[in-house]
Amino acid sequence: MSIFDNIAIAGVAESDLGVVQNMNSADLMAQASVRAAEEAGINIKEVDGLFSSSAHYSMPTVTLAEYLGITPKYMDATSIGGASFVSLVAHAAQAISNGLCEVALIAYGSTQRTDGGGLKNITEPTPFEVPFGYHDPITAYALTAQRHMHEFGTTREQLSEVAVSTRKWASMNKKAFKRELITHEEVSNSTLISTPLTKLDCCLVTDGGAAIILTTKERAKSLNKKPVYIWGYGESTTHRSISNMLDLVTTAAAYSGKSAFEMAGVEPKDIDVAELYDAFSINVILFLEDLGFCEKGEGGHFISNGNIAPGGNLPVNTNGGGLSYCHPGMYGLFTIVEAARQLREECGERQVENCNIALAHGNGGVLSSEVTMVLSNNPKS
Amino acid sequence: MKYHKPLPDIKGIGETYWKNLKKGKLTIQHCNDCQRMFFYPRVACPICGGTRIAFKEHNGLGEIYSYTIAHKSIVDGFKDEVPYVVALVRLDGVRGNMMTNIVDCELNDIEIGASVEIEYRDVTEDITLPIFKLVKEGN
Repeated sequence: MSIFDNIAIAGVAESDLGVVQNMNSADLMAQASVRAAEEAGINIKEVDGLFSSSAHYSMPTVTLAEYLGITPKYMDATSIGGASFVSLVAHAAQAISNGLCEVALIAYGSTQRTDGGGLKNITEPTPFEVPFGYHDPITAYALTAQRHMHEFGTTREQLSEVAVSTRKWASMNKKAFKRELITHEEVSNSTLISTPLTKLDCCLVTDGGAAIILTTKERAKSLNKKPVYIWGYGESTTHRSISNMLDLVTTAAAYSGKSAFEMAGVEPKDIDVAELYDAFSINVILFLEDLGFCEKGEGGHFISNGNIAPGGNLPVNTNGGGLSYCHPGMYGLFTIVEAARQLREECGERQVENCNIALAHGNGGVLSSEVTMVLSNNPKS
Repeated sequence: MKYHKPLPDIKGIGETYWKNLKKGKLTIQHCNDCQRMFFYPRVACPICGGTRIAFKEHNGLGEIYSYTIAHKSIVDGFKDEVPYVVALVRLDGVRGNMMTNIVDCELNDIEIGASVEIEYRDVTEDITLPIFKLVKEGN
């Protein structure tokens, strides 16, 4: 028995993405919401459970309820950074399976790019980091990348490979913000921000929103789309500020992944596609190790020679990820949108063949909170 | 001269730590239950949960756990000082890392594992920051 036994994803959608003029963050959140409901074949007014997290709104579910004219029976605005949305899908499942609501909407929107001024950030500065030129979040990820290179011999070339592979996927996604192919040299030689990370190791800053409709399995069967089922999930955290990440090369994905795989009853070798929150190139290497796709320290080797690119053994970030497709500040929900589309075989040129089990992984803060979900196009037997 | 870089909010249990830095003393909390030292200052020990905690003087020696050289920065007072070094220092015998800057050295000489020592840098009337320098060989 699990909280997912009687649950299915019935609809997924993005809002307009990239540079979206004349829309604010609530507009994007609502646009994605009505698209997800429309795709599912559910009237948005039937939504009785609302789930959101935001860097723009202090009470995002309340904002969204007002906007859509909904008076929900259940709300949850978990705040664990960009990982929140993977977590919220699980929390929504829990609410539905306990009879607290029947049609759950998980939604996100952010106009981070057109707001100007770079990353919209709700991180409170810690007194023990703020005086030293800490530049959130890149300083944190640079510190982890440097330590990973030191401990395991991970190379600059391998960091570049992540960006190059991800861009190859993006080139096949019309919605991706950056689609022109790049070379290893272009990544390594792009503007050095904070050693060892260059501009092309960093995620995009875009506008965008996403939404998911979750409901009962029974209800989902009568709706428009092939239901997507959740087999397993796990979440954890190891620190809030990077100074307190005691082991800089091991994230809480080691815990969230273990929980998710145990609940799902599958192993990394069973995963057909992995959608990993790639705020920076190093994330992908760390998560592949921590989730058990390879040994700790082998991530750089694992991703080499096109292994996570189109045609590789493990397709990773098939939409183009946060590095090339879209990153409005909290990317988590987009990992599930793409996982669902791959499982429904809707991805055209970038469709992974025989895709039956997908992994979506959200990251929050500075490798602070990690949430892993295993999904499938078949109900768990 | 006005100081243009971000300053810490010292309110809280950590105020003792900052006040002692102002006097040129590095003090780190010691847990009298598990006999371990930890940083940053807290009301409960993150290792054992104990609350019999006292600040103890530390000699300010440690090693670089990781570092990054910032070449672009948006941080006030720092953006015109690139490249600068942000490091995590592991103080001898202390659980947790201290973020700091490594100063007065060739950037090429900085490496993970290098020994460092504290330097007290007065920046305002109230604040002295713990900055670190590489320990020169032979010392």
